[in-house]
Amino acid sequence: MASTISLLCARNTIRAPTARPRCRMFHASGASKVVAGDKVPTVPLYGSSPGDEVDLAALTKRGKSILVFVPGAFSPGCSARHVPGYVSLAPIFTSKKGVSGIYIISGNDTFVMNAWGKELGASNQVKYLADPSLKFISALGLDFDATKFFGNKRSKRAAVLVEDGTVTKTWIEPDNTGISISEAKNVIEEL
Amino acid sequence: MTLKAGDKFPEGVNFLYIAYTPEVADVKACGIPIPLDFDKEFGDKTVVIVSIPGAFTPTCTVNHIPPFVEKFETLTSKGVDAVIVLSANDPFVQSAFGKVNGVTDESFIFATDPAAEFSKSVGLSVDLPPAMGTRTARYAIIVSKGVVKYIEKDAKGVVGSGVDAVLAAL
Repeated sequence: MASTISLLCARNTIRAPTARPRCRMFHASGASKVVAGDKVPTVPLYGSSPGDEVDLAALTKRGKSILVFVPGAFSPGCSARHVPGYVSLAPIFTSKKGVSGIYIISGNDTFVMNAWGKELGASNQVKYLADPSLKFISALGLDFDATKFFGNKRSKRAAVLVEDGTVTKTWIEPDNTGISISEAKNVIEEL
Repeated sequence: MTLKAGDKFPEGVNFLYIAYTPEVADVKACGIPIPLDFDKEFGDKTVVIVSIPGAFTPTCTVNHIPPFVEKFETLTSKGVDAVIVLSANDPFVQSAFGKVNGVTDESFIFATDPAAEFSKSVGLSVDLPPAMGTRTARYAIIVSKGVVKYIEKDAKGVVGSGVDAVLAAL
């Protein structure tokens, strides 16, 4: 018996880390990373102006919503590929996948987010929300130290599927800023 | 503010910016932020620093910066070597703001004062919670060969920090 157990343990340690059960370890920067089952934070975001508070938890309480997190408006990947992908696929998200809203969220202020939205294409389907203090982003454990390029903490690049107020799927870029799994054309396949 | 005309401009001031090149002319394309060493680049030059609380905010976009763009040649004809538009927004946002304002001259720089540090150090920052945090106040400084020639802060609207006031002081 003992020898079988030790053999199993040995096998477990040789396996890839992803095979081990998920454990919530102490995360130095605050909340642990968002996972399926989490609720949308009730922390306010900002829409058309600094006074326009948006309760995203309330907006995503019913139906399917996609939250797209980006490190920074007007920055390389975000502008050239990531958000444009969602803007162009928004009609398909809506008509074929039953998504009622796509929300682009970043640590910039509302003026910047609105100007950026104007350049990239905002619509009824794609809304740009500001989280200037990063409270919403860190409540989901998605913040990282981006001081070198941005001067402060920013959001990791990620996409989060919310169904009836609860997170059901997440695509968080492993290197924080690359564009791979959280790209619109990948996310839409997995809905 | 703790800086006044006649003072030496503080040493060791560094900003961040993205240099304009034709490749990154489209607002949706981006360059990479690099440091702007004030002493090194402008120690022996005449520079106008125009600071704004936020890129893409109403006043800055409509009233404050466009006149500087329109009168840039007048400024250079009066001996100004460079204009630096400063804010606490990150370099990507500043670079986009410059493009949206139609600026392509490499002596007209849109730079970041990271965390409004420089502005704070001379009493020229402003707190705008909850949605904007600490920002650089609206002000203009003329620095010539390391000496402050003119410094004006506007609490409201664009007066002493506007291009006409700056031109009059040159």
